[in-house]
Amino acid sequence: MPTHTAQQGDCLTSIAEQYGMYWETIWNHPENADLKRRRKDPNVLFPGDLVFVPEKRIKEVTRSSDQQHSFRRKGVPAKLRIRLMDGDEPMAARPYQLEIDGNWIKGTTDQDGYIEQPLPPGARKGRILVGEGSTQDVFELQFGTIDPLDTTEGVKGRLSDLGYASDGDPAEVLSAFQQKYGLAVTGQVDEATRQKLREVFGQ
Amino acid sequence: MNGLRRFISRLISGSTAHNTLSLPPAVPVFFQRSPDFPQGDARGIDSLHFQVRLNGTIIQSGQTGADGRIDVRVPVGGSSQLELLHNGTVVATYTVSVSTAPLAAVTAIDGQKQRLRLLGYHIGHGGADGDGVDTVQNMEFERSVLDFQADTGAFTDAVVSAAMQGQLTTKAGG
Amino acid sequence: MAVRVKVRLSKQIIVPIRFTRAVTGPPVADAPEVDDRGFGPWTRPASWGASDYRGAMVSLAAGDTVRIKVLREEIDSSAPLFITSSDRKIASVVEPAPGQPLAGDGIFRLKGESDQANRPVKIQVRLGAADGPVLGELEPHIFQMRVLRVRVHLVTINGVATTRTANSMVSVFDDINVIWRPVGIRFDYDPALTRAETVTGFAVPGQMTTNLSGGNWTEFSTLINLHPDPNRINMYCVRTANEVFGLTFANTVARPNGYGIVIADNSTANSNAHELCHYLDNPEHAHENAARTNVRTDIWARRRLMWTPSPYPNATPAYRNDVGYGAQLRGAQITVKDLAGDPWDGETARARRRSLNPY
Repeated sequence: MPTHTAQQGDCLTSIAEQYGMYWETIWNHPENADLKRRRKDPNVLFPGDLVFVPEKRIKEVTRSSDQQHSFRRKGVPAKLRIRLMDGDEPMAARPYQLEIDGNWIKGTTDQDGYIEQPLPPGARKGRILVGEGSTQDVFELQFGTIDPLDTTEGVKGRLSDLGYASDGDPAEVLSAFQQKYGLAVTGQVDEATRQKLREVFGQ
Repeated sequence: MNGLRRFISRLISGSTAHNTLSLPPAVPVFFQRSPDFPQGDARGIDSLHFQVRLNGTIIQSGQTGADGRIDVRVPVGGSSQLELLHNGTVVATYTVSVSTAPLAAVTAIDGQKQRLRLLGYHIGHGGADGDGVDTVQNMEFERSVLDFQADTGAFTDAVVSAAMQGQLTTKAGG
Repeated sequence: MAVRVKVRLSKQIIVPIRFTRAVTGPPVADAPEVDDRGFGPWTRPASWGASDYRGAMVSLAAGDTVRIKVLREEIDSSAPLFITSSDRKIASVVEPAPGQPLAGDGIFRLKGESDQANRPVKIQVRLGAADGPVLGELEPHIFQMRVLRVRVHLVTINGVATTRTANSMVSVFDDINVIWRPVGIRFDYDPALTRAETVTGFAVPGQMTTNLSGGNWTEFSTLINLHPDPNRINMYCVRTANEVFGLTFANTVARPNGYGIVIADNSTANSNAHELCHYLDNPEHAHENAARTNVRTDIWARRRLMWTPSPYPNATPAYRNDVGYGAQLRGAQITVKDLAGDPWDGETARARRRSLNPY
């Protein structure tokens, strides 16, 4: 079976969907032990990561030929779990509309601003609309695009999602984050900053 | 209205992680016909149509009310483009950034300029940030000091006295 | 180009425009000073009516068309601006034409249609269209022209005569009237009515000698009592004066001390206009109080007609050396506003009050 090279937007669930197997089968395969050690989080891959895809095992089932049978594919869809914030305040109990690859779902954020919805593994883009009319806030979503926290892109992506400038001076942006959360203000990424970023961002 | 592109993870079903998406913090900008905060009078420029653009994407739009206020969303460490519109056409643009640093001392020229600028007085566009704040005593600074003195009923002599420094701090903060 | 705004302490006020005189250099009849001192309206004469405007003031004579400049302090140079009047029967915008945007140089022309002092009018700068949002306001005051008659006396002191002549004073009054026109006052000088005067017994030939700090006004008082015309403002020309370019008592000073104006040959038309402003009840303004302490040296002070010296000595900081009228030259502003923080302004209203009873 091929080694899959991760692209931007890939994650274990989308790769598993592509090759027709459970994500655990890929993640727990001995050939991916190094990947598992490096990435730790099955939800986050980095473009260029090599993912070993094992051979599919064929399951044989005996059934009577003159009857109709149902076969249900096992599999648990991925999900998205998003917390919406307006500055430091959760966007709590707000009506929203969620669009995933053209399909719309309506809901209300919970008391802490969370939205949790199933996510088809192959879904690439979506949007959340909160509020109505001219005061609507819009979040354009790109699924599977969170990079590992030990990469520059992973740090930048999380900071951008948290409302920091994606094109700002990196040292200034990091300093602002460090100052806000009471870390040593160095303007550089260090382990304490990564930990806090994981905690604040949620992943 | 379009939104800002966000990076999201597809989570496996049993994951307890989440992704936090924050709207960039908003800072209030007041368009007024005269400086300083109103004292029982109407100074705001109302009916200004505006939109805020971030990385080329429109993230806000609206119209000012009687107070001329726009809560501009500016990403931390970056800037947004505030555009004023007429009949849907952009007619004026402002590059809005935010400083979280404390103001300079009110006893120094740059500290006085920061406070005058915050209150809307016309200190020019010199300085590293192009908003007039620097340590140079120039004609625009003197004009602003005199305007402030005139507006507060003080003797108009362009001398930034201790009393005027106190008023600047009271009105502008810092 | 976008205006850069750096928001500090989570708040920012933006005031897009202000108004200013349309030209720099010597006074020009159709480009008056703009009283842009602060944005508050402060004290208004009761006859001016109430207004909620906030911005600058300008005065002009009824029937005159003047130029005024809009400065785009905090808005793009390309933003389309439109100028409107809240009452075109009192003041009308004659350029740009209705519905047309302000030209790139920011100058518009305003006509004073009618002296209706108790009906305030606003000139508005609007964004995008003639009915767009109002970015700034100017309050014009239109004054019906009053003519004040002047008799000039050419004085010979101890045999030394002034170098001025009846004809040479014609251009002087032309320049004086350019300065005073926005107040709606014109000084009518008839060279045919000029008198020659002779006086002897002064301390120095050709000179009016005074000791103002010591209270010695004797020679001045002698001069202003030389054949004063009871139906005119009397102006006496002398070759020199030891302490001043000119000296004036207003007609609130009874004779025998008397009232009138003395000007030295080395005085300019600006200085002569300054003396006429004294005559119409306005003192010098540079100091804070009657004790003449805390003298002001700022750019506003130097722009005022009633600033004390002109030309003035080299100033510090150097930008104070030109306040729009040329190097080290006093301005010609006769203030319209009456600020709480200025004990000596409101000069236009005071001069017009005095002009009702000037002789």
